[in-house]
Amino acid sequence: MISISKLLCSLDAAGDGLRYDDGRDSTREQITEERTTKPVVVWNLTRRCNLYCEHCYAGADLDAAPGELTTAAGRQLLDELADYGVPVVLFSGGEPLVRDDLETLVAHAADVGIRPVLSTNGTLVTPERAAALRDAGLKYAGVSVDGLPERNDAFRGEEGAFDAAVRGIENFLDAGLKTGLRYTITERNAADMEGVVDLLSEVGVDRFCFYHLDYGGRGGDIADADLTPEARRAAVERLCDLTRSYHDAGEDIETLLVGNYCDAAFLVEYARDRFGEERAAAVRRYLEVNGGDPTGERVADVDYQGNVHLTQFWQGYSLGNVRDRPFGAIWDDESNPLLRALRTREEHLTGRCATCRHRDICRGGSRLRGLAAGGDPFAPDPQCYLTREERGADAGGSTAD
Amino acid sequence: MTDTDVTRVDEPRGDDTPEWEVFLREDPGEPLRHVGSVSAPTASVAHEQASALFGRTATCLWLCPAAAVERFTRRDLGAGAGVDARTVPEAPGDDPGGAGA
Repeated sequence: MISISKLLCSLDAAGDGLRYDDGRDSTREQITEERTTKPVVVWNLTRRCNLYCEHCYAGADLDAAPGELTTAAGRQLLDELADYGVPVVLFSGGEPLVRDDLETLVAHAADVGIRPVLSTNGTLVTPERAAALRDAGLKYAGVSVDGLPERNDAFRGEEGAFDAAVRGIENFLDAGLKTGLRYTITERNAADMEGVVDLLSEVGVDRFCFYHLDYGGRGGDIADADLTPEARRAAVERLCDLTRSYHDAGEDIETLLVGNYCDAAFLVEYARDRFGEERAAAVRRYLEVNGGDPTGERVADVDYQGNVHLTQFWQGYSLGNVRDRPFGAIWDDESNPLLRALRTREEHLTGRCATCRHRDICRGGSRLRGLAAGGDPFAPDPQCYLTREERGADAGGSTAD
Repeated sequence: MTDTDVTRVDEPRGDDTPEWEVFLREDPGEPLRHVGSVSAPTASVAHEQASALFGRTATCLWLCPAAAVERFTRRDLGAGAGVDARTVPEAPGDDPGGAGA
């Protein structure tokens, strides 16, 4: 995650220590004071979902799937994640609220010292469940909305999904839970970004996470709806401008970019253009600490059957299964040559990434998209939108290709 | 492993799309080792995917339908955590729909 509001507007946030090793002087309570080498774990509790979204990376379905981890298995998984030092578990799905033991598992995570956070479509969030999740120790709820009402409902396959999600957001906020937006940017909904931020900030949301489309699950089926590099650059620039205008007006919204670390290089260039070299250097230092794309390192995924993945989007390959051995043993097993290579990926990146001067803060972007587009997990990310000049004089490839 | 301390893992590794366990050898003199699994509709697609992931280092790749693998472990995830109060959803049939199903 790259925080526009932190890097361009100096907004303190709970993730500063985790993301930038910059939490010690923050006015906000920190997830971790210092940057940790242990991954944030996304746990897809279930594959079931009450919606059928076009871009779902998990390939969620309306029907039950076999082999979900039980409550007892989930408790032990959380115990082992805590012992391993995992700082955060993101309960996800499918739709995690279809499981009636969600509150039990959230409470157990909190009890063993893991920060429990939630990713949901929001449509099943009643006042009672919002309060129960708060009481269980939930720290944050991210609600997915992918456009203004008509566009969102078409994307999510159900009329009224937008209004139901907003009701869910209001229920979380009324329960006193920090609540944010999750928005996946595509060609179809990029025009709605500002409208959704305006609308939801009126509701009381102050955290907005914008995801680039990754090519996992059904996300791979709609890759043709992905933005062109030029349109992506324009969308990210608009988000930077939007964030600054909110802050200039005294509204300290938090905005984050997720899933394309080309954005890191762009923010350095944006800071240089708008604020000068000194500020650009400061932004770059934060991003050097952040460390670029986290696949196989700072983010991990455990699916509903216990399979461990390199990120939540990369469901087509599994490192192993927590029913066979503990998560930490799987994650530390660098006898796996792919895992080993991902952790030294600067040595393996090919094409224009190999010589890009921003590869230390980007690390090639999404390795899953590189694989999908180039047949090689170290091929360039097709979503890169940097110009040849920004990549450095020696970087190959065409402009913004 | 002895019979008394071993659990058979019957839960599936995949769902609608078959899962394929991947084994590789980097050096001709070393044993095959397990390096995870890929989801693919057929053996040839599974081979394509495994080759994309591991072709740069593997001198030998083996694929096996995950549903054909009998898994045994000393571990029993969740067995020590007491009675499971949750109702596990019904699976769509006895066969989990994994590889080879």
